[in-house]
Amino acid sequence: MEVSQLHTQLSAALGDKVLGREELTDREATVLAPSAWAEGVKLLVGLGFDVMIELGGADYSNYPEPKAAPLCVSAHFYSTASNARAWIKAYLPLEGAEIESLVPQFAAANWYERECYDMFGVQFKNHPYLKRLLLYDEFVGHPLRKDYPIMKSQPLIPMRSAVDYEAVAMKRRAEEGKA
Amino acid sequence: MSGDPLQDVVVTTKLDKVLGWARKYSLFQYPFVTACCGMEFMAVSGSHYDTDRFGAALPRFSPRQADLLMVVGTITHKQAPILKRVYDQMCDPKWVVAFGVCAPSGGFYQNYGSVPGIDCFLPVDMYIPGCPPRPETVIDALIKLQDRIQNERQAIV
Repeated sequence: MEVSQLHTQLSAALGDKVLGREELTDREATVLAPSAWAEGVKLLVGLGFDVMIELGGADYSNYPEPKAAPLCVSAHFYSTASNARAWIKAYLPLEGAEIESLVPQFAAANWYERECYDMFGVQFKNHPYLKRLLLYDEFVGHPLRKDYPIMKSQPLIPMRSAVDYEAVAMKRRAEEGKA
Repeated sequence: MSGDPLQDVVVTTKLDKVLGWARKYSLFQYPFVTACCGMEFMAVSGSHYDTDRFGAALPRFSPRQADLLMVVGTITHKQAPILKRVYDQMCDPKWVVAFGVCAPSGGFYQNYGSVPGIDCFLPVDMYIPGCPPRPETVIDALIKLQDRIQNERQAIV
């Protein structure tokens, strides 16, 4: 099945809940309204997409320009019958990012969604066990969001701070300049 | 033949030297392997590079039986308490080797997840650079560590 056909079929079934299509380097993604996420995936299953390849997140807060709903959840499906692939996306706001879980359709979504929650703080509704996958429970915040300080770490045990080699070098240069 | 009848039968030395000599040839390593450096560690601890020549061949898989902690690979903040606990379980005297780039410095993982060098919470005796280190580098570090053990003040425990 051609990707453009797929887009047309999704648009016909979901109406204005299909927000558009995005050109990627060698493929296209259909952008769904978050409210139509689970419904769109059910349609894809009906069209023969029987393998979930991947689900991931991305924070486009400042790229290419600031926007109201910058948190992107994207999913990738494959059809073993027709050797076709489908990409869908949804954009969520940073505050109260919430979307339907795909675990009822694909068990493979379980850990992907847990990772996405861990890294981006997306709440997946009706997920059976939405707990951090990679980081520890004591961790505060979601580190792949752009508003998370890039060098901030949250140690579990007492640690001396890492040496700031840049500062050491600057101090040495200043002293050499004085001498 | 000199006048001293004990010259050929008695060697005089210091207790620190004797203990150092004994300890440096019986290193029992505990490999704490977390990442890709482990492959190189397996290579060097096999028969081909033969670390048994330096008395450091036998890995123990309980820290309570080991005195050389080899930290091989990236240590994350999630892993740090576990490594600390492993270190605390080892009996004195004990030494720590940071193997590769990530264990000594965090490597290129300068972010929320990884510890910027295990010396942030452990006393490290030897750093082995390389990503991953060549077996020759590891053997060089072993010899240097033995040198250090030979010449250090020995704790009597």
